[in-house]
Amino acid sequence: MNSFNSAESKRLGETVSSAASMTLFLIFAVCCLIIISVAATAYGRISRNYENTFDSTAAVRYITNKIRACGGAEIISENELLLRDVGYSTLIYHSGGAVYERLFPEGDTPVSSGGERLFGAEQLIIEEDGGLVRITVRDGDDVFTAFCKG
Amino acid sequence: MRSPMKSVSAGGKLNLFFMEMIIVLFFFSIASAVILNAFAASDRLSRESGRLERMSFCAQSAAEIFSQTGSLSETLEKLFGSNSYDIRGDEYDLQVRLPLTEECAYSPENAELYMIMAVESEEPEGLFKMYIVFTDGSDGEALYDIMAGAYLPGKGTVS
Repeated sequence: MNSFNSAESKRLGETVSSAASMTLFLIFAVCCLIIISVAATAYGRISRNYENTFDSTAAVRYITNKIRACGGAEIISENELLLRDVGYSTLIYHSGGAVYERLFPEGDTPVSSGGERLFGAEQLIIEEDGGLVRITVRDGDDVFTAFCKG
Repeated sequence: MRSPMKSVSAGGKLNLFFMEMIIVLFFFSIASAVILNAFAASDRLSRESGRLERMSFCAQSAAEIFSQTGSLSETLEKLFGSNSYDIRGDEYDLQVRLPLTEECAYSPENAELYMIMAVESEEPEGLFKMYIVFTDGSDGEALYDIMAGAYLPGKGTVS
């Protein structure tokens, strides 16, 4: 009778031990998945923020620096800016979700096509505001605006 | 010769597995705590970087507008729109403290940041100095500061 009980409790102990091990293994697997999911979400958010911020701020800074360095700035339309210098002019324009730049020899008519793609941006707005040029770049949820003397 | 493993009973094997899993979980919990901390810090740094970028744009724009207009009230109006800003001081020493959101928008109800702008000049005409300081809305810690100068002959006074 005692040996029967002992065998029974041994089998029960093994079952409980096995179930506990499996539960621990399950916890381990679930924790792994949670950590990977949290890490992927955080990385995605950081990467998205970085890209949006970089594209928008770099575009605004680039344009404001070009305006400061040029001989004269002329706003052609809401998303076209012509920067005049000796012997050439630079057209900065927005088309198809990106900001482009194209150089023209003095005397040529600037056209908003071709050129070099600078930054990805959903929207570029260039406005004149009381003698200042207001540049707004939108990319994703990020909007950056800067004023610059034209 | 018998294998050492074979000498361990089935229950003993399970106990060893159980112990191994506990050790693995212990190291895993330490590693995950470190990793989560690293990701949280990285996320916070990314947000702070974006906020600093906005503050620098705001300060740069304020300096540009002030150097063009020579007027603090006009500078604020162009930057944050028409509002009643509490500009204090006399005509050669003005100061304003603006409650802003993290996106640097004027918001008296939800002040996450404060932008302190001070304009001073020793002469009626000539060089005006503008100090811009951004402080944290909760603890008042200085986050970003810049000093700009504008030579404004003929402006006479700032307003």
